[in-house]
Amino acid sequence: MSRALLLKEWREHRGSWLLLNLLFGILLLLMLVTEEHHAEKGSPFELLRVPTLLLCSVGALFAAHRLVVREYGQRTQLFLAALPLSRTRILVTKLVLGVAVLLLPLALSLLVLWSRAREHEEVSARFVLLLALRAGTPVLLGWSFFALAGLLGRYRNPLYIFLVIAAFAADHLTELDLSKTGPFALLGADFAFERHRIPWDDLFPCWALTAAVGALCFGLVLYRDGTLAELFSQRMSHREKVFIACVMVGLFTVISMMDEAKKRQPFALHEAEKAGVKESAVQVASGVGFPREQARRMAERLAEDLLALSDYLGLERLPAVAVLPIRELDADVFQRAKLEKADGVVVRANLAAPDFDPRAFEAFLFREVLIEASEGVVLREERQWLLDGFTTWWAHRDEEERLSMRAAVASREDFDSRGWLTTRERLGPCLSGALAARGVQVLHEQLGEQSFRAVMRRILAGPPGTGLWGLWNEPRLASLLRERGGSSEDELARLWREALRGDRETHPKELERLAGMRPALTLVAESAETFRLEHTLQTEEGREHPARYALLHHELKPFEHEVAPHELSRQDTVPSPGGARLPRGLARGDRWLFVVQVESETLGCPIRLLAERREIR
Amino acid sequence: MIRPLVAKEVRDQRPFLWLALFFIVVEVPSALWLEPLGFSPYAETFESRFKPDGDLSLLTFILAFALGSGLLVREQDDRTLEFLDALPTSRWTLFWVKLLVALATVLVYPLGVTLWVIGHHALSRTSLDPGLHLDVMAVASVLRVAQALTVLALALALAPLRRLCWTALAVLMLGQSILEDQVPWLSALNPFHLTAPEFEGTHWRWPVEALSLQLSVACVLLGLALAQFLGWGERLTASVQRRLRGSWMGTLATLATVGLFIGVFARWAGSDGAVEDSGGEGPKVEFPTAATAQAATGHYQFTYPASLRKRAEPLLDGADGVFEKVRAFLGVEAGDPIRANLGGSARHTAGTAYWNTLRMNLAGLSRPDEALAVLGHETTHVLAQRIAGADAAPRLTSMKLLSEGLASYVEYRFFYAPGSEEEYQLIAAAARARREVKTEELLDVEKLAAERDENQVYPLGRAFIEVLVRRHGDGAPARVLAALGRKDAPEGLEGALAWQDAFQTAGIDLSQVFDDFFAYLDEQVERRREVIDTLPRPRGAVERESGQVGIRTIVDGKVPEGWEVVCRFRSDETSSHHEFDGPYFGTGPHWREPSNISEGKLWYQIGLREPQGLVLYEPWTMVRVQ
Repeated sequence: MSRALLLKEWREHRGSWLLLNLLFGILLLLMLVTEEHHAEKGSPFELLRVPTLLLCSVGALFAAHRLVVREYGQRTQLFLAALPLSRTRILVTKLVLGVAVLLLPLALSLLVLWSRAREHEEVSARFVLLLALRAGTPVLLGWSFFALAGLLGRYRNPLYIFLVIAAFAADHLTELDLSKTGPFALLGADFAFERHRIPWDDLFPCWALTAAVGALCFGLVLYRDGTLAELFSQRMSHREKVFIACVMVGLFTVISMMDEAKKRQPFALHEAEKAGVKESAVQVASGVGFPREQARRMAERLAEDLLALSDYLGLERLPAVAVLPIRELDADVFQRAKLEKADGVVVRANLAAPDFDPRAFEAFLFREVLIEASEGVVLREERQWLLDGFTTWWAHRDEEERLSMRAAVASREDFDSRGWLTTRERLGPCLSGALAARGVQVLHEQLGEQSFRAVMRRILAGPPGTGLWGLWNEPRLASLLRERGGSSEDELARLWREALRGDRETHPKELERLAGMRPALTLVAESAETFRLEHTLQTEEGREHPARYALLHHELKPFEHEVAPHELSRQDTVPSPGGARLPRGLARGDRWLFVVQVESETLGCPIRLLAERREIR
Repeated sequence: MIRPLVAKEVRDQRPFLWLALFFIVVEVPSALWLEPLGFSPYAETFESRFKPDGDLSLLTFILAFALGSGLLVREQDDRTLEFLDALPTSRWTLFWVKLLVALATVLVYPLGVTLWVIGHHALSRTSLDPGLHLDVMAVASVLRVAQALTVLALALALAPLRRLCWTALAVLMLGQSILEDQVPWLSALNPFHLTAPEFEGTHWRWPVEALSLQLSVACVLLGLALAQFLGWGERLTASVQRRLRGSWMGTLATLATVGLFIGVFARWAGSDGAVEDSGGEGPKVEFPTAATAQAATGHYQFTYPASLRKRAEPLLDGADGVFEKVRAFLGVEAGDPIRANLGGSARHTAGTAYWNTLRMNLAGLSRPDEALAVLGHETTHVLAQRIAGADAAPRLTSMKLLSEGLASYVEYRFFYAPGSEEEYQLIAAAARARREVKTEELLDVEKLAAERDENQVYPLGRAFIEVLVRRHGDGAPARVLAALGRKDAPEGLEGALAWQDAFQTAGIDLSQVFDDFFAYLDEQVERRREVIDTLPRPRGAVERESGQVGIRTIVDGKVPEGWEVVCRFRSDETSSHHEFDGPYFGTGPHWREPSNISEGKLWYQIGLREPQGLVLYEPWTMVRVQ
């Protein structure tokens, strides 16, 4: 410390420091004036967090700018170096001065809040000491950090950005939770409430870090007579700026890619019945109406079927599979979870429902397993019917009669296999699966077992390709058919439609019943901007009414995407001549998907009579 | 002469061009090499790309401002302007060449990425969305150009402030965001909002008002920058610049920076009190504040208004009994006394809990048993936080179904007569009957609040804890809390994963508890089917009168006796329930001033209030009323 230096700093910065204290005075006043509003915070000392946060961030930045950056930026440190003063002494004076400048408003704030709080409650000296430690430590750390950054001159802004990227990396690539570490923990939720426990675990690392950063400051200032700090203080060129920006963006991109590529653990379900399949496991949890014994049987059956499927398609590895029972869903709705920090296929279904169809569920599960195994490549629309068809066919191998009946109903209108998403939306997953399964059966008959298996292996279980090369090398059905000496895709389509015609001729009864049903949707304006939807299901005279029908609805976003069955809200209605109303208002300009469907016991799945995307106007 | 000037500018601005190209190169070739192509239609990419705080808007803003802030003043500072003046060209021409080249440089990144998004969609389109939506992309591009021009103009106008221009930008942005909260209409001035997608059907509506306003502002700012560049008022400018280099600049920087943060604080301070302050211009009556009384029991240190001594007495007498019941249920040590302030609570609540501290609004609780029940509820929160620990307390607070459910369960089980949870069960059953109880919303309260009603966590949470206790015993909630706060818990878990982890560690199958929970709700639905079937489903219709917009409630059928229709409003999807306007009772119309409507969107929610005060809300609805 040097008195002369102190006087010099005082003369140079007194205006700014007075203003800083004035602003903090105003802040304190503002806090006291609005104290009533902050009563909801639970303790008056919650207000101390604000000056603490300000002082350890912007206050420390400001002090570092005045005391360090300015000195080095304007090269006046060269004059100081010419004086009979050591560099150590100059730095110590600056650091101590910074501490004093920052701790003074903090101490004042604490004293004022203490005096206010004492009017209402007892505040022990230990509690005040605790608050002082918890507030003062981050301020000291902030100051030492910004002082070091100031000595880094033109690299201080890249340092800030680098630290943000490092924090991002620590958050995403490690198990470290910054919010529970060091200064963040000191200013945590219990800051104003913990009156007894001194958080040594958080204080010691902060103090150690402050000391280390302080040592670095001395290192920078003393290294080669301060020439390093002097070099850093020079202005950054345009090219240097762009170079650093590119390095930072590159770094950020690499970290993001590492985060994506980070190996994740297979999903493990606690207390589930497990059955091994290859190196993976099928886990089925029990639930209400779905006891452990049933869960174990299901796990074993699924494992057996998955093993057979993977052998058939030549899948080397299978993802972890977990099945959860849930009563929240309808029996015919299955849901796959999005996983974070774990890999696998986690699905849930109403396994205990009396009308739960294990075959339909298996088809759904096998489909999801193949999607996971191919990293989504099998979802390419032009070949998606093969995915749906194969998994449905595989799950219903011993139930061909039922598939035939469903296919008959599904094919009552023509379809385009290359526009499969539209077809699936029109028919629903159950009927579209049957329709596609019929196509797969035809393909099987046409190619024979061996060739069919080879084609399916290429399409459904080929190694997933990425980028343009992957797109170029994706298997195409037409070329695979050519390779195998089969016919063309057109020929396959013709045979498929012929098989469906045969199905329709075999099962005319259900088709006749459906032919007489006329669903209708009407939008009725209730004001210029709002509408109601009226819906009816009329049947031709002399034909039997369905006991009830369902209106499924879902609000769409501007761009079209497939709506999963579990996303559809539902209104069950008994058909009546007056129709029914959707129990919500619809706003002009919104877009909705409306589906009218009836249940069919014969088919064991719902039949969609209408599926319409409509803009409200 | 134009061509050499353009060439010189392109050379000068080359670093920014390289930077923009670098950003594109980082993104596009990596996707062409590493990602499965053809699975990124607009439905997947558009929202994340084009949202106001998406990368396109942010980078356009940063590039435009960084480039603009040095575009003209660098020539002046480096004295190269004098060389340019010697050339056979005018400053006027120089200005426009610089501006247009800068605009083109800034647009390389956003328009390049827009082209990439179109290309990616072309590879990914499906039969559900076969079009390229070039009309939408054209609107997006035109608005992007306008956004870049506005930000460039702002940067050019602020550039003479030299090193203060970024601070000035920060002050302007903060001011804008503060004012936007007070006057939503001002969002039309925000360049980020200019490119926010506003769809009607599949068409992007032109933000005519915002576009015309921002282009007008950009013209004025460009005029200012041009005047400065042409040297109009040169003496004045020189004198200002001399002063800008003076020592008081640091002081100004101090004021601006610290003032900025004080502004943030003032905004934070003012946000909670906004509704109470809007009392109009009527006479103001203010009574003296009552003195404070303090009392200590075995487990509490109470502070309460001395005027409520009589009302506090039964509470003080029963407090330790309440504590013991909760403590015994949760199986926790007594620990330090809890500080209990009975002088008030957060708005719309009877009590609030913090770390080892609770607050209650004793004045609002007329019955002693009610006060004891609220004390039990808040004590449960405090003890639950103690079990979880200080580090896990914020996570527990965010898991509202668990924390509020547990507190409500304890409240009804120990402090009210059996059967008094009837209204809770009815609301929970009605929500279930309407298929509005969704696990993902229950586990993520923000989703629940955005779609329906955050307060559903009370009745549904109580039911959840009831089935948890039924299957796994009284110790189950404490086991889950302990698991939540264990030292080796994985970091950064949120939403369903945090739930899964805590329950799994506690040895409880979460899916099984949810299964029980839905079975319980189904039981309640069957028991209350008659009442639920009589509840109508109200909806809203928009009405207009004298420039105001209102919502009139339409009810098909009869509202049961004792029930009431209510309507409330919010400014956007992210508003917290403290910021909601309402509820207003009756079928209305309930009117809204145009200045209270943000970006032409009116958000409303209709509900039915049952006799005890709980409300069964319909989902939120948004109507465009511009």
